[in-house]
Amino acid sequence: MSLQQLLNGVSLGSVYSIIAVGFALVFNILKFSNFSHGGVLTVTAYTGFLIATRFSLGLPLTLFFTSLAGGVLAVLIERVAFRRLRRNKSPVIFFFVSSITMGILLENLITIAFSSNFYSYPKFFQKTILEWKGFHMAVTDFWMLLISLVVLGLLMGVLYRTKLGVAIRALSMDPTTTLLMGANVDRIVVATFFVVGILGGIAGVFLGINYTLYPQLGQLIVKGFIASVIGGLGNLSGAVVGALLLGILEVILTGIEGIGSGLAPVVIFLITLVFLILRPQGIAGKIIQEKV
Amino acid sequence: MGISVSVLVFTCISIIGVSGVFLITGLAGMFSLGQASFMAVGAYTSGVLVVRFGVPFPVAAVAGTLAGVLAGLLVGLPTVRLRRDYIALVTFGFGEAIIAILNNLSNITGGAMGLVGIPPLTTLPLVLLSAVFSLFFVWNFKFSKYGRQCIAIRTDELAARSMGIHGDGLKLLVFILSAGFSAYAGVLYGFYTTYVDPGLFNWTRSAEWIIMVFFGGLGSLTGAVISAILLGTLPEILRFASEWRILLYCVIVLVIINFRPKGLLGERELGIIKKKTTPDTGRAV
Amino acid sequence: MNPSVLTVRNISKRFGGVQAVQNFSLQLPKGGIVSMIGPNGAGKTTVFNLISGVYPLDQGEVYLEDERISGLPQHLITRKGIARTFQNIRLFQGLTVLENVLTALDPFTPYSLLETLFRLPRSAREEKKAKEKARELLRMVGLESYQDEQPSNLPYGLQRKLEIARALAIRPKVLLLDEPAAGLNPKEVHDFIDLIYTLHEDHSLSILLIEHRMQVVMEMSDWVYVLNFGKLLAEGKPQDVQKDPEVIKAYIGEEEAC
Repeated sequence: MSLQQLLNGVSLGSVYSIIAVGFALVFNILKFSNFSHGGVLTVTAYTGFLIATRFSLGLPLTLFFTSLAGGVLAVLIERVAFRRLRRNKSPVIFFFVSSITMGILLENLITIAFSSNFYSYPKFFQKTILEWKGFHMAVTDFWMLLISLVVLGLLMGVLYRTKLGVAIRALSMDPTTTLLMGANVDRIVVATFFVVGILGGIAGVFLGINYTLYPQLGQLIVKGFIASVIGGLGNLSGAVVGALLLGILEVILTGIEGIGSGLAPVVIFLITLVFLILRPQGIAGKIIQEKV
Repeated sequence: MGISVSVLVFTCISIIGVSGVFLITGLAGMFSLGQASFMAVGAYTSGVLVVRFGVPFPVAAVAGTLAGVLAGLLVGLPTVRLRRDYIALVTFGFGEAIIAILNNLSNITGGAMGLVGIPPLTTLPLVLLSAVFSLFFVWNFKFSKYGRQCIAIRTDELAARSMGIHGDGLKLLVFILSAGFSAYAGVLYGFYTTYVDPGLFNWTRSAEWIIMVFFGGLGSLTGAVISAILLGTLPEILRFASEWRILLYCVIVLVIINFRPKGLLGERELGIIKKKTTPDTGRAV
Repeated sequence: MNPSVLTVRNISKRFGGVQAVQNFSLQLPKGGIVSMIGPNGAGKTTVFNLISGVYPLDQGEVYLEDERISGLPQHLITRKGIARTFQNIRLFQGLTVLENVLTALDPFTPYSLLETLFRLPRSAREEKKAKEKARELLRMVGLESYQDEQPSNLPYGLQRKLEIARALAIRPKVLLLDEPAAGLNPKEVHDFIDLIYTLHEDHSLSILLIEHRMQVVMEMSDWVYVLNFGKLLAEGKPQDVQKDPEVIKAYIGEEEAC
């Protein structure tokens, strides 16, 4: 593996990490795998595209508006797909099905609105490749890496230094006590979804840039899932680590002759399977044994 | 009424697939986002055997179904003991892996362009008979010790184990059976449309079947059948484009989950198809 | 020959930072009724979970008669003859009362998958036999008329009885009852004690009981084990344990010890 590949892998992984963290946050507080996040990714990717092309805004402003859009969308999703389930204390299966359905719904809305054509984001930068001592990095990759780092840092700041962050962490550890302590659980959940939506918005734009736009873009949520699993489901730093590893792994696999991008999903599937069998708690996680 | 033969055929094929999903999701509570890939295994195995190797249809059909069963065993073995989200992930991954493999073995499978020239050997009587048999099998399964134990596992796996029920063994059994059903559905599908390509067997198709089971009520086979018929034929009759059909499904599921989580029939069965009465009370079950 | 039907030797279990059970030992004599008491969180249910195989042991062994059962998977431990009920009733809500009992019989009912799928005669025969057995069990606890009801429609006391009927279906050598009288009013508790005695006599059951109601413990137990913070605090005959100052301190607190 060359350093160049490592670099590519890391920048790919940084995008995955934003997805994974958004995924892990919801898992933490509501204990289910939120596949609707894929829908958020798709919608925000297209939204960003519209904003960038119609209004010719540069990357930062596009990101700003897209993340807002993502936040709003996520809050709406919570309202429609999960609020009532929480009220009814429905079994976890229902949350899961609801999230998948929501994801499919959004994917199809986009398909109807945009048909299956492929779209490309406009070029945001004049120079497309950065060079440094023989290493290349796409400018967009560079910015993705940088912005991901900043966003993750901000997120950590929110989680560990603000009242909201404490509330979110409390909720993820013990919902009943949090409620008993007088916290407005609804508001915490909504706030978390908003944050998750922002993350989704940012990731959506990056995915759109990297992969060109197509309605099934949201299926990349699976990467977030895999990353979370590798890192330890629900564990935020684990999700980041898992995502980086996944990104590097993908780059390496794609580079190998016999595998390429065609069979890479197969190898990843096998690796995930092995991981789940041998270390289901992921790198960082602990198995939480259900108290009977 | 304007329902064409093809709608009937596709509905019956759906019913066969949905029977399998009923076993795995309705009875045992597992979410497999890869059922469609077992369908692909069935369709491609039988299709390739006939098109490239001239194997007679009945043999190929059996081979296709068995291939699906084998795949179900291979995937199920490590998977069924995992927690629910992980099962969904692994089966999804399997689905993607199968599609990738099918795309890559283009010499044999025709790759992304698909497998063409499959003889049209699926007839309406065959499909109808198959659907009836599938329902017969699954119905018997549900009202047996197997079905009960599965429901116990779905409702409360810990308590089920405490009652001596072998959770993992049953889950694997159900996984394999439903893979077989899906594979057989795939065989019938391929030999009806005479053409298959990997993109037809993606996870949204798996999700559609799960949605049908949900709509009918998780524990209800008749409910699953009714929703397969309704959701299968309605859009055809009304000529929806496929994206709107899926949109409709999604809205239905969201409404059901939010307002009537039991689905159409909940755990109940309609006593139309077969009545099973308990001898002394004479009440229909 | 071991006079104890259940022997628990030095078991320990840790969850993360908490030592839930430490070096706990217990003997259940054949045909006896033994209770475990202790303040909430003392580890009693954890001991049950360790015995029945819900959690793996960190340390120690469990023997059923002379056979070592610790380390076996949960369902096998059950099939060897250990049945249990749960503190929070865990009935199968998607099944009727009769079916709940049937599921406990199911692992033992002898017909195959093929016979099921094709509805061959043996499956129908065995089903009928199993249903008869299940009805018999319901009769034993007085629930026969409710057989087609949903468990959630039953009053709490009857749900508890159903749990017991289901546990008995396994033909257990040992019955683990986790706070079986919780939530019952005094009359129900009285009926309940009678029921357990009857079953105990009729089926030569050995019973291990977790209870908070001193009335139940005093009336029924041959021997009592007291747990606190996962460790054995005291053991002995009910009357002796009741007077033990350490026990009183643990339950009530220093000032009230009298």
